Amino acid sequence: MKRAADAPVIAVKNLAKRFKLRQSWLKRDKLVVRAVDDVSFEIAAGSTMALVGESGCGKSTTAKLILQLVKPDSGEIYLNGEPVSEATPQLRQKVQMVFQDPYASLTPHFRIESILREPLVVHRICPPNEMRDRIGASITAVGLPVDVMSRYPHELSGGQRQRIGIARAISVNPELIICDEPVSALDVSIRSQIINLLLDLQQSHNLAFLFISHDLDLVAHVSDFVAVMYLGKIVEQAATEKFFAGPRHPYSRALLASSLVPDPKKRIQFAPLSGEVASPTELPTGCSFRTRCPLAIDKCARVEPPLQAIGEGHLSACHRAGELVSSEMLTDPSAPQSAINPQPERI
Amino acid sequence: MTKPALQTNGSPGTSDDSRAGENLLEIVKLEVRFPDNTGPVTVIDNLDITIGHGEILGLVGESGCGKSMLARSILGLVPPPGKVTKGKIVLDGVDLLTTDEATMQDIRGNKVSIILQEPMTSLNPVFTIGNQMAEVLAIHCPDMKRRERRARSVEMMERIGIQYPENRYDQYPHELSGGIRQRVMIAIALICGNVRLLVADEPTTALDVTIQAQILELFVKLQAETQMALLLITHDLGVIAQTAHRVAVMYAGRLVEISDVGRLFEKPLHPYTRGLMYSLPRAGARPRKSHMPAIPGTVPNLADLPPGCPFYDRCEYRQQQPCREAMPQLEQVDRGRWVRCHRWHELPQFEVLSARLDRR
Repeated sequence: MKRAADAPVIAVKNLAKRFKLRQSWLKRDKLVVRAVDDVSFEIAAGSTMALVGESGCGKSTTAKLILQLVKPDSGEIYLNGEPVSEATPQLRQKVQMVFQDPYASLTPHFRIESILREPLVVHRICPPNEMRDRIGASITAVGLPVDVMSRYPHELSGGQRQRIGIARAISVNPELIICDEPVSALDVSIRSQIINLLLDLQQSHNLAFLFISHDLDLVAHVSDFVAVMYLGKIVEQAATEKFFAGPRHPYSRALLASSLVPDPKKRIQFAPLSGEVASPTELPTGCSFRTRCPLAIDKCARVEPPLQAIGEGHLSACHRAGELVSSEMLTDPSAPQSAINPQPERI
Repeated sequence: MTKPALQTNGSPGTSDDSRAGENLLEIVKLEVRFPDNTGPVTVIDNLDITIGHGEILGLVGESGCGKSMLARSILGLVPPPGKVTKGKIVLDGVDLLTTDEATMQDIRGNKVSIILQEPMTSLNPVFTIGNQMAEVLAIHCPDMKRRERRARSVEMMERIGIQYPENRYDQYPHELSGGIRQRVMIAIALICGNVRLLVADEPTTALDVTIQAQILELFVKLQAETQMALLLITHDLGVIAQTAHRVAVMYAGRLVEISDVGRLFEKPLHPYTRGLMYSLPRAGARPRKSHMPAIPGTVPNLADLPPGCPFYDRCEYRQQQPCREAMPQLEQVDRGRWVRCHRWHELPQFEVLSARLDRR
């Protein structure tokens, strides 16, 4: 594998994308959505970065920008240290994607064999006479019997289909796999099977993962680094252990507090956040989170907080990050606290 | 609450201790079937469950286990060609399966309401929010004047926590965010004011985590205010743990475990429930990037169930005898606890998850 020494598999610097919305043809000025703004990160071989945030925060747009499915307005993308500015065959091969919905990501009228053959043909991975063996090998690698080759996607269960999606991604020897909510459409009992498979493949193929998810418990388990996005910006970025030991942005804290602990004895204090995400076309002045933030002060309305280091390898975009050390500041102390359901048992 | 002695003659799924007459809904030996090329497929098999007044019953299961079909049978909305072939669904003394359609229409939306998973698809995109809310009132309270309907809808939206309800009334679904759409669905379900049972089928699955927390809080608040019962269907054990009083676990069209929420999470009895609990990712529970315990295999095809226990192929505690031979019955193991497993009493001690957390 040719790789500039020590260069991360993927490096993204100050990536930005704005979408212009067409309103009425009578109106001159267009609404602008800040989909991704000033996003920077790197992922080394064998490691996983998780991108966390609510829908519409720019997670999937970031993935599309890396894949060059959407052209960035500004910023740079480096694949193994080489700048990427267009969708070269090499980029298409080295960066693969596993999609959220295994029911929508496989062509229904192709047999599994044809679905898995296509990337091999496109990227000229092997001579035609070896293809069947190669397809069989990737099916075995994802833990399915080889005879699924002759089946159609509808004959497989959700978990099996997701395995085919993964087989398709790894069959062309990628270096980075973008996993966009790879298990959220699957049943709970199947999820850990798929997660285990992804972890195994990462280890055996030394793959870098960009793991897009909103499930923080899952992120805590699979990732090495976490980046939290809010309205197009990364608001906090840290190594996974550091992040979960003490998030230093009020939004990250609210996300953690909102995740529902599967333990009836630990019913959470509600509600960590009121209101919904601000409209991306009418961003508030200053910090875009301030409209929902329990800690907002005057400064937040005036100055947009930059993403800055607040500890070793720990970045946060909050004016009050320095004060966010104790966990008591999770919620507004003046707000009345009520458990979501204060009567957990009826014994 | 005093603890009465263990009762063994109550029907399965009775809340707490089968105090007669205290149940709002009683489902007795329900069977739902769908015709198939090879013969009828039993989607719900011999299911007994009750819901008490003001109780939040969580129903857990995988996709295709029949949990949505159970919700639909309560409202008499099993999609054809499916049919309720056996059993009784008694709400406040009225058997919903034998009443005529006119009475059923009166009950639906009035005494029993349902909220579906996708707030996107369950609202009609070409009508305003107000239009869809007022429609319920127009049907159930025909004497109401247009202005009264509007006032009632706006009042309801306010109660549900929708800001600027006057403006929202004239908006279309696409103008609202997912969270507000789901709130509108709840408002529509409850607008008649005397709903005794609200069936919520995966009400928060399509929502973001922070919004999910808000909606669940709303459910609990409404439930406490109105003392209605809530049947909360979900596959998310987190939702169950945070809201439910009692939990029923379904697998392949059958109930496999019933328990109050505290004891279920402390000591799940059925191997499937145990597997689900173990396979949840929990921060700090095990080394990062290590293998997670998983339930192997997939859900069996309902049209082609193997003999014996339907969970046999995936069970880590299976034994040829008796698991392969006979279908286990739902048996009562304690007050309010039922399990469908031949070997529940022989299974090794369940390791409490929070104890694992401390051992990080």
